[in-house]
Amino acid sequence: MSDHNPFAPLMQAWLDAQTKMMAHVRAPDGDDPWQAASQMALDWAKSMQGHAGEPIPQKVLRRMMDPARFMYAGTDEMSRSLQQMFDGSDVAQIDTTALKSSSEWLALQAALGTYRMITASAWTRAFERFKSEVGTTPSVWQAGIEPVMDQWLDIADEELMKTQASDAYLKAQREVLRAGAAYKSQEQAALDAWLGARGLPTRAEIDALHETVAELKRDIRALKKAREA
Amino acid sequence: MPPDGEALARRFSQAREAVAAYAQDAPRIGQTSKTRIAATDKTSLYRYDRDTPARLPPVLIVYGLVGRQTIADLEPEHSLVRDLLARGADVYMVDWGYPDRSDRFLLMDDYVDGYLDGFVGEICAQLGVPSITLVGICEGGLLSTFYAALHAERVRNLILTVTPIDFHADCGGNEGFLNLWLRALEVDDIERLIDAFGNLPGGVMGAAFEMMSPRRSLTKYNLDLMEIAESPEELLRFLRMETWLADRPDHPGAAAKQFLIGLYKLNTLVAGTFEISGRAVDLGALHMPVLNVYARKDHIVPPACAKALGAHVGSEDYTELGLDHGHIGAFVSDKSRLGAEIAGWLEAR
Repeated sequence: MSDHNPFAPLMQAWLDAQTKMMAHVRAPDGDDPWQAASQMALDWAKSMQGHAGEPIPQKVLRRMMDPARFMYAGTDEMSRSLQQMFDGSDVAQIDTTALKSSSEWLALQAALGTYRMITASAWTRAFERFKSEVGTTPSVWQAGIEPVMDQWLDIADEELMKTQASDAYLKAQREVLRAGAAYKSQEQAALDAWLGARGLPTRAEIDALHETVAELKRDIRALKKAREA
Repeated sequence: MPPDGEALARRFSQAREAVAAYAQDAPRIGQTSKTRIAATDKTSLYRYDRDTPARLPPVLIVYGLVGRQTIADLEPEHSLVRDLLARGADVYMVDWGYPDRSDRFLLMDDYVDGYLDGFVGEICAQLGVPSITLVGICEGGLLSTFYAALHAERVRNLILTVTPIDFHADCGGNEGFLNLWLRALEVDDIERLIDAFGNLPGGVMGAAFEMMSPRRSLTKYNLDLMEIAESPEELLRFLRMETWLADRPDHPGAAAKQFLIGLYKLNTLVAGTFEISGRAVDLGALHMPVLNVYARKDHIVPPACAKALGAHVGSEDYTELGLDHGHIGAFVSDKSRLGAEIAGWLEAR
């Protein structure tokens, strides 16, 4: 890259960070790839601030390129929602330690890991393509930072859409939902056992009551209609 | 020319301050004056107040159980309700309320043959008419379709907006992530998921919708917000939309199984095997005038899934109308002519 290219230092920062990211994606047992990607986005935002000459607030740049934010648009919002949903019932005074070491919990964590890794790979692919396209046409910077951001968004959008329709993604999503439902059911059974042992109504018992009420209402409705007919 | 750095910084600061101000006093939506005229369990029927006599047939707007009906009355300038009122219709609206765990066993049967039938009967009784016009929105369009097919004598006209009918009509295309994702699951997967929670959590549906628009989700809270920061009107509109998006009740579990398994996964409606209260819903029984409005840029209900009704409907008075909007834009876009189209169609009948 030429010294006259204001993009050169930025490109180098990207390349370094990207190499780190790729290493993490290839070796899922390593450090958290999301932390690495977030640092990469932070580096990117700082570089952009210094070299693009057009100071979009750094917070905005960080959010635009933050892989976590990328995931919010893509799969991480769902994965976080699911994680929170499946994991959100740490009822006070009930020891969930045993649940958190169960095979169902481990299966859920593994499924979520695969799910996030697929999205991390999508981010990496989008970033590689963006880097290549912008790097080979440094003139894009002459029009300011906004067209470059548009280019990133177009690429990110396209890559996410493609990923979310892929067989690998569909399989990973299915596994998360299966594992999540299995864990949630196990958790509910444990809670019901705890409640039952203390003479309190269990979820299953309350559900049975609600089901009976719903059926009774249907019966009453049918009787009313028969009477009116 | 792009704005300079100082202008951008100012906009960002303005956006932050404006949002912080609204955080103390949340923007209100669904504010057109109305009166509750009936209620059953958690559901309510509203009649919108009007000063002049109606000159169009009464219409009942039926929203679905995913999200809230307030999208039809988001704000004074973008309100299907106000538009229809201004054009001479008597407007009623169903509010399904906020189902909780005690509602997990409610079926679509209960919504169609119970709540909706009761509300339609109430309107007919109050107005002294034998039938009314239903305006169904999305899943509410399905409920309206089921009702019209099974209670045809009570439905003078059927108007569907962004309503999926053939849930597999998108196959082979690049639209309809929801359809694709659900087809990738086994029936057991969906059953176990809903059983695990009792209901279908509203937050999960919200997250799924966010995922369908990656670009929008990446920019809405930063660049998009900055773009509108200097316009109090646009900012307020943005926040009203956010208010609506965040207002997402849980979907009753048993009805969710009918929706996701019976319709999305197994596509039983167009096969003629989808049942309400033990009766198969026959689309061929829709002999009343039908207006089917779809959105050409709809990423939630692909146009093909909505337009499929034309091949099954029994009515000889069937009109199909495509709007150049997305799923939500059809109701809140500046350029939406939904109210005008509905009123014009009604005037001719």
